Amino acid sequence: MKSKTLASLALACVLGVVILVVSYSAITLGGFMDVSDLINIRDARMVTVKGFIIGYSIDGDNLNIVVEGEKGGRVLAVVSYEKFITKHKRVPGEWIIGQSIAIRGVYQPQDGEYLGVIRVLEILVPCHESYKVTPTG
Amino acid sequence: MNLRLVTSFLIIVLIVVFVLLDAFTLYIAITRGPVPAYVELGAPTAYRNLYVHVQLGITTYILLTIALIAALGYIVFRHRVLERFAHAFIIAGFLYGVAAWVTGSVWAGESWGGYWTWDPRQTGILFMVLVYAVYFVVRRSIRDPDVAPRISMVYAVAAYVTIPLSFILPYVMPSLHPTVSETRVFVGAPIVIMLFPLRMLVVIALSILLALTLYLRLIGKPIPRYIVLPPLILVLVSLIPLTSTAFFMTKQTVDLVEGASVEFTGIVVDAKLISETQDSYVFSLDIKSGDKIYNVKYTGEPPINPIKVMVGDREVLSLLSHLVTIKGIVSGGLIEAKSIEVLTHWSVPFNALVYALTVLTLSYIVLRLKP
Repeated sequence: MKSKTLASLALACVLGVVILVVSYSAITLGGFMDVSDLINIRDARMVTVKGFIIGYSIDGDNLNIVVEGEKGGRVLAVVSYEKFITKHKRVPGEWIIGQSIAIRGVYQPQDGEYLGVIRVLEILVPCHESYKVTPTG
Repeated sequence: MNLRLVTSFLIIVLIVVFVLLDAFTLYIAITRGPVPAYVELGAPTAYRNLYVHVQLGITTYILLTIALIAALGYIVFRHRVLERFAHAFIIAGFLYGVAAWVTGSVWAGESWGGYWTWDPRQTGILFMVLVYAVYFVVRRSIRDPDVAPRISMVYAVAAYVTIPLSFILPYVMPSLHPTVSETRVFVGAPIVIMLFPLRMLVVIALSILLALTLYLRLIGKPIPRYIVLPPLILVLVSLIPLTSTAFFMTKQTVDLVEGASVEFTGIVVDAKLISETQDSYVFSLDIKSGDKIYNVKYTGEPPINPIKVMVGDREVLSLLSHLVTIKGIVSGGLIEAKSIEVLTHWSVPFNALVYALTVLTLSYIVLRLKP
């Protein structure tokens, strides 16, 4: 193989690694993580976490949702009751138990039953479970 | 017979055939494509984007993989045609990539709850598009005609890392995107398997055909001017379902005057099956339109089948969360519905239009690009 060809391939590899590292870093900077990974966060900050709803309670104008991560870590997500209904177009009930959810908000770590409390700014819902349902059409 | 004439004729015939197939399957998909009977968030009909967005994503991966092989071929063999071939497929892949990102974000707004969510694959696709956008800058910024192809092909090979990266991210990080194994159950269902793979094949075939046409143009072959006409069919087809789509119709106020005829559009926020006989069903529905919730009673054929669906260990009515238009009469403080029409979420025809405009743009570039 010609040296010019080898040089070109080597350059492509180096450039590829640079693009890979920059892209991966930028994507992880978005902060999308599992609820259990919050154990590594020691100060209050904005987070986007994913987990499963294992419980809920209504507290005045707020809905307190207990979200559990894959490794068992739990967080208390506090969301406006009104915001929840607007987003889900449904009143919270037993149907939310077991649902996967992603929430974006301000995380405050704490000691005790939960890793911390998240004041929810945005509720996101993955579509994984929808594909397990019977199709209609 | 002139070989150039035969080539051009064949290209146009193939493009017309695939555009017609594409238009037909697109129309079926956006008006009656099967969707999950129950979804976790948003309108179930938004899942008709499955027949537009997923095809754009997979096609982007395929076009840019073909471009990678040609770029590597150019670096090793130094045949100029390989560089032109790679360039044509990068142009097509870039356009489809932008469309995949736009259509995905629009769909996410309804089915995930946010247009921009920092989801790893959504962010990965955005990076892929940005990295490939730099390719065009690199290619144009080098004046030396001997150096420009080599450097741009080296960059094209390097840029490809964004493809496997964006694909594997939902497997290694928490993500809102489903994995292939999660969608397999739905896509493999009998009523879906007729449409989904057919759409996939047609979209991929048409994109490769257009990229090849672009390549032929780049190496100096004449392409008839009317190549832009067939994709216009796709644009027109994507506009057809607008009349039965929920665009601005969910913020209406209904005056509940006894005996008055009403027609309004809203979201089914609660649904109960009061009774069922062999030929008639009675539903009690809460429909949210604007800030108000209206109680609607409907007796008749179910507007959607199956009526009930199991979600885990729960049974829910499939009408829940659908966008519907109600026609009926106010009676005793509630609305007695005479008919219920299930509407397609606006994101579906919007994304179909984005797809159609992508095909049209690519055809236009074929005409405009200088060899």
